Amino acid sequence: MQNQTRPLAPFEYFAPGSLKEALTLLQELGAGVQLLAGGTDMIQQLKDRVVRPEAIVDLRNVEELSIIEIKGDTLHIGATATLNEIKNSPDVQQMAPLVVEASREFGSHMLRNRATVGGNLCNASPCADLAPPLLALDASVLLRGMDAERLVPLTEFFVGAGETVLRPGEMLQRIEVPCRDGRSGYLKLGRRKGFNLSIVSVAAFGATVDGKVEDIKVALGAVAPTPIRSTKAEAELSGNAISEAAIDRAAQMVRQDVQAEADIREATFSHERGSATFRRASSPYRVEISEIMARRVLTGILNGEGAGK
Amino acid sequence: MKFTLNGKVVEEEVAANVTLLEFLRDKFNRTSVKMGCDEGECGTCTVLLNGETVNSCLVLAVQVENQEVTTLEGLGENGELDVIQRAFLENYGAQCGFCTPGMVLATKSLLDRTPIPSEEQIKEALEGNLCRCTGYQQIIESVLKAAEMRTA
Ligand SMILES: Cc1cc2nc3c(=O)[nH]c(=O)nc-3n(C[C@H](O)[C@H](O)[C@H](O)COP(=O)(O)OP(=O)(O)OC[C@H]3O[C@@H](n4cnc5c(N)ncnc54)[C@H](O)[C@@H]3O)c2cc1C
Repeated sequence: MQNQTRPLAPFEYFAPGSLKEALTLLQELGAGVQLLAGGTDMIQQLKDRVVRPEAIVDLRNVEELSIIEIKGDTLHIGATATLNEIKNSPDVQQMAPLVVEASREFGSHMLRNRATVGGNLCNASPCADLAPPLLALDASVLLRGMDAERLVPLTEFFVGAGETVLRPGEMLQRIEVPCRDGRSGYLKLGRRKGFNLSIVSVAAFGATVDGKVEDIKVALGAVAPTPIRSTKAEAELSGNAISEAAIDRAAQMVRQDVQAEADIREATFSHERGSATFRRASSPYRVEISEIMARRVLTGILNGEGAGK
Repeated sequence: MKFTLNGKVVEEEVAANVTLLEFLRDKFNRTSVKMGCDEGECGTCTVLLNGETVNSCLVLAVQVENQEVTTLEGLGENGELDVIQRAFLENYGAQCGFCTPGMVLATKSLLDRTPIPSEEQIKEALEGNLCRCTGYQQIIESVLKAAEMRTA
C-alpha cells in the first residue's frame, strides 16, 4: 500500500478566459500541450505519467464552453458542462432524459461535481458512460480549431481506445443532440454505485410517431475498444411494428456483435489499450450479459416503461 | 496565488504540478485532509470548493485561485464543534475517524443545499466517501440527526 502522494512532473499552466484565447494557446503551444477540464481522468494520468505535457490549458474559465441550451430541435451541451450540471439541467431533462439517466449512474456525487461530458468523450475510454446514450440519440460533436469548425457524428468520433479524430489545435466545443419524440432505456452493470466503471452498459432510444415506436437505436459501452452501435440489432427493429420476437432477434444480434469484438481481442491481443476495461469481466460473461441487458432495455421501450422523449 | 481558505483570504506561491491535497497538507498543515487512495475513489481527501464536495487529490492547487476552499478545520467556532460534528460524535458516526472529515464535509454541503434530506439524498451525497468501520448505518443516522439539530 502506498502512503505517499505520487508527485506530478512539472508543466506550465494556463487558464485562458475565452475560447479564442484557449484556441490561440492550443495552436501556439503545439505538440506538448494538453487540455484540462474536470481533471478526473487527466490528473490520474499525470500521476501515472502516461501523459507528460509540457503545458496544460485549463478550460474552467472559458464560459462559452459550459453552456447548455436548446436551439430549435437540438439540444446543445457545452463540453465543460459537469455531470451534475447535466443531471440537474431542466433542458437536458426535457430533451434528453436518457442522458440524465446515464448521468445518475456515473461515478459519485463528488466526482460528478468535477467530471465533464467533454472529458468523458475526449478521454475516449471504452467504458465512457456518456457515449452509449449519446450514440443512441444520434448526437454529433462540434470540433473547433483556430480557423475552422466541423460537426462530426459521434459514430465517427472514436477511433480506438483513447483515440479520437481530434486534430492538433482542435478541441471539442459542444455536443449537439437532435431531439425527437421517443422512449429510451439505459442499463449499466458495475460493481458498486459511486465507483463503478462499467462492465457493460446498454443505451437505446426508440423514436415514436403517433405514440408508436418506429425504429430503435442501440449502443453499448465497454464491449469493444470504442463505444459501439449495434447496427445489426437496429436493423431488426426498424420498419415493422416492433414485437417481442423482433427484440429477441435484436438481442441475439447484440450478442453476435459483442462476441465478434471479443474474438478480435483474442486474435490480435489488441486489448493493450483499454486493457483495464477488459480485465473487469471475462469475454464469455460480457457476451452473455450484453444479450440479457439489451433484451431488458428493449423490452422496456416496447412496453413504454422508458422515460419519454 | 490568492484564494479563500476557511473564510480567510490567503496568499501563497505554488507550483502548477502540486495537487490541492498536497498543498493543503504541506503548506497549510490542514491534516484533516487525508491522503487515502490518491485517485478519487475513497473520499478521505474531500474538501469543499465553493461549497461543493471535490476530491482534492484530483484538483490542481492552481485551480482554486480566487475560489473558496473549506476544510474540516473551517467548521465550528471558537474551538467548539460544529453541530454536524456533534451529531457524528453522539450517534457513533465515527469509529477509526479516518473517513470522518470527508463525511462531515459532504454532510455540510448536503445540508446547506437540502436542509431536510431524505435517506436517498444522504446516500447520494455521501456515495463518494468510503467507510470501512461503521457499515454506514450510523453515519446516515448521524446525518439525519444533524439535519434535525440544524433546523431545530
Ligand atoms: C472515482 C472515479 C469514478 C469514475 N466513474 C466513472 C463512471 O462511472 N463513468 C465514466 O464514464 N467515467 C468515470 N470516471 C472517469 C472520469 O471521471 C470521466 O471520464 C470524466 O467524464 C472525465 O472528464 P474530466 O472533465 O474530468 O476530464 P479531464 O480529466 O479533464 O480530461 C480527460 C481528457 O479529455 C481531454 N479533454 C477534456 N476536455 C476536452 C475538450 N473540450 N476538447 C478536447 N479534449 C478535451 C483532456 O485533454 C484529457 O485528455 C471515473 C473516475 C474516477 C476517478
